[in-house]
Amino acid sequence: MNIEEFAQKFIKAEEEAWRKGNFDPLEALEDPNVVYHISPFPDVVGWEAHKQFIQGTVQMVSGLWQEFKYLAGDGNLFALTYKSSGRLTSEMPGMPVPKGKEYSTDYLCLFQVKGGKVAEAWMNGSITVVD
Amino acid sequence: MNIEEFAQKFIKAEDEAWLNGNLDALEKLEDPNVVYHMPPPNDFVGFEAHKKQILGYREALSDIKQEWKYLAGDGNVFALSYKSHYISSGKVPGLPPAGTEITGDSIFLFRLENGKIVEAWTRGSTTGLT
Repeated sequence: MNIEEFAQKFIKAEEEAWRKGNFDPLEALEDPNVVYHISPFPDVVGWEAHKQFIQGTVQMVSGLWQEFKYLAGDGNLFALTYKSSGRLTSEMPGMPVPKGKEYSTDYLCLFQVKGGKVAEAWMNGSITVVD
Repeated sequence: MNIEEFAQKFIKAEDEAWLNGNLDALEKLEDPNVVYHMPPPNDFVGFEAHKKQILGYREALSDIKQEWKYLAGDGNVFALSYKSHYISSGKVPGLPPAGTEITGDSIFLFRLENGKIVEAWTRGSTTGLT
């Protein structure tokens, strides 16, 4: 499996986790000690913490829309764009959007693979309050 | 030269361009047709457009401080984080009044072909622009 095929598999696993609450495919692709550097939030360290981050966000956002797109990759590194929108239904620590407001995000995400699993990820972008 | 060495050379070339206005080193590392995918609608196409952007901002901003950090790289791709701080001169339409502090926090991804940067993507957040 080349890095683009891995990235496409990762996108499907993310969608399965976020939309259906099925974390099995994503767990199979991430190192148990994976570290997510997600601006402006504190680092998410470990697979369990990442799972909880997704579960928590799903509970706090209504009408969540997401789009992952593959940009480029080589060797053990790949990058995606991530766009999302939704309405925050409760206060989310670190999120610069007030409760009740609609928002959109536009992020660039970089993933480093070690031993066939995502070991570290960096995500940075903009969060815009829509209304 | 491995990809991290290339990235470190690129960081020095960017600093030289932004802080001293000398773009010679940067020109050697970028393809003439390089494309920078900035947040819409501001893509830059070609080294000359990138050069114009940097020189334009040097006119519009003072107290330019920037910190590039190598994050990761493999083969022909590498990524950097970029933190910046500027003061608006107030001379350019569309930018805030003189004295306004502007800060940025972003991530860049670069793709090389034949030893030169051909494509780059960036996303991040800024304060002070609105």
